[in-house]
Amino acid sequence: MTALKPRTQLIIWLALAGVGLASFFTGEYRDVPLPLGWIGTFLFVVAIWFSVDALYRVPHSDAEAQISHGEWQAWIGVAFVGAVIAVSLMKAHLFLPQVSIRQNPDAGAVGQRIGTLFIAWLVLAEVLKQRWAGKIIADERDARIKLAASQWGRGATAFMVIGVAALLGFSDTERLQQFSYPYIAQTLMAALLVGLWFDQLIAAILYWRDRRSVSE
Amino acid sequence: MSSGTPVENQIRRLRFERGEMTQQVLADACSVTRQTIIALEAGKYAPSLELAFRIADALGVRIEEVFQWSSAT
Repeated sequence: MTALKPRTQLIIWLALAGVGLASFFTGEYRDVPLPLGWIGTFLFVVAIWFSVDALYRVPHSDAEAQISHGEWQAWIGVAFVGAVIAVSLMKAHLFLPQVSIRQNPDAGAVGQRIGTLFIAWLVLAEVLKQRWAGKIIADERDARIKLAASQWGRGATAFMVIGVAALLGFSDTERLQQFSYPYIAQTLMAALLVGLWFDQLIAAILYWRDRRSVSE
Repeated sequence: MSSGTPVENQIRRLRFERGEMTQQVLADACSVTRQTIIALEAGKYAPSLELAFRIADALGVRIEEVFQWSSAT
């Protein structure tokens, strides 16, 4: 791999990250005697790690040099929180049985996957921070962007929580009995995650819009 | 954040008059990111009063030599 140009390496690692993410989501549905879900997670994290490494060896164009640490973090946040929301929605039905999560191994496995994604996100964020070691990674402009993004995030969270509350409040008793407590808890978690995702997305868009307007 | 600002500045000219000081050197001297200097030079960002003073100090001039109010914007 080292004989290849950094730009080619970056493309290969990103493609492998995509394969890892696809395995993470679909692994358990394939009839293969291997824990494809976990292998996918591992491949995704390793590929993202090396993608960051390759990215820093790609010769910087002027446009690339304009991407700040905050923007990288925001786009990575969008990807990871988006993946967590996708897992939560795809596996929501596993929380329907009227038993505690501790007695529901399927729901426990979903929780482990979500936990793995969050840990991978933290690791990657820390790697990025190390890459910027010695440099100023945020200032008052970043603070303004984060403030605007967090306001949108809070709005989205409030909207989602009110939506869940209204859904529960206006549902028939018979229908409510179909929802277990773990399912309602999972729905509330998803509402909070949507707020977090919105926060990251708005920050990423504001950074991108700022950068684009400067380069125009 | 990306909209134009009525605060005009002479940062680019003053940088070049000081031995073509790079954006990164100025950013480091003012404890901000290079992206902020890029946005300032493009007139897309109005700095806080503290940052304006820090930039003037780094360039060795008075604040009004760096920043001007443009009522036409």
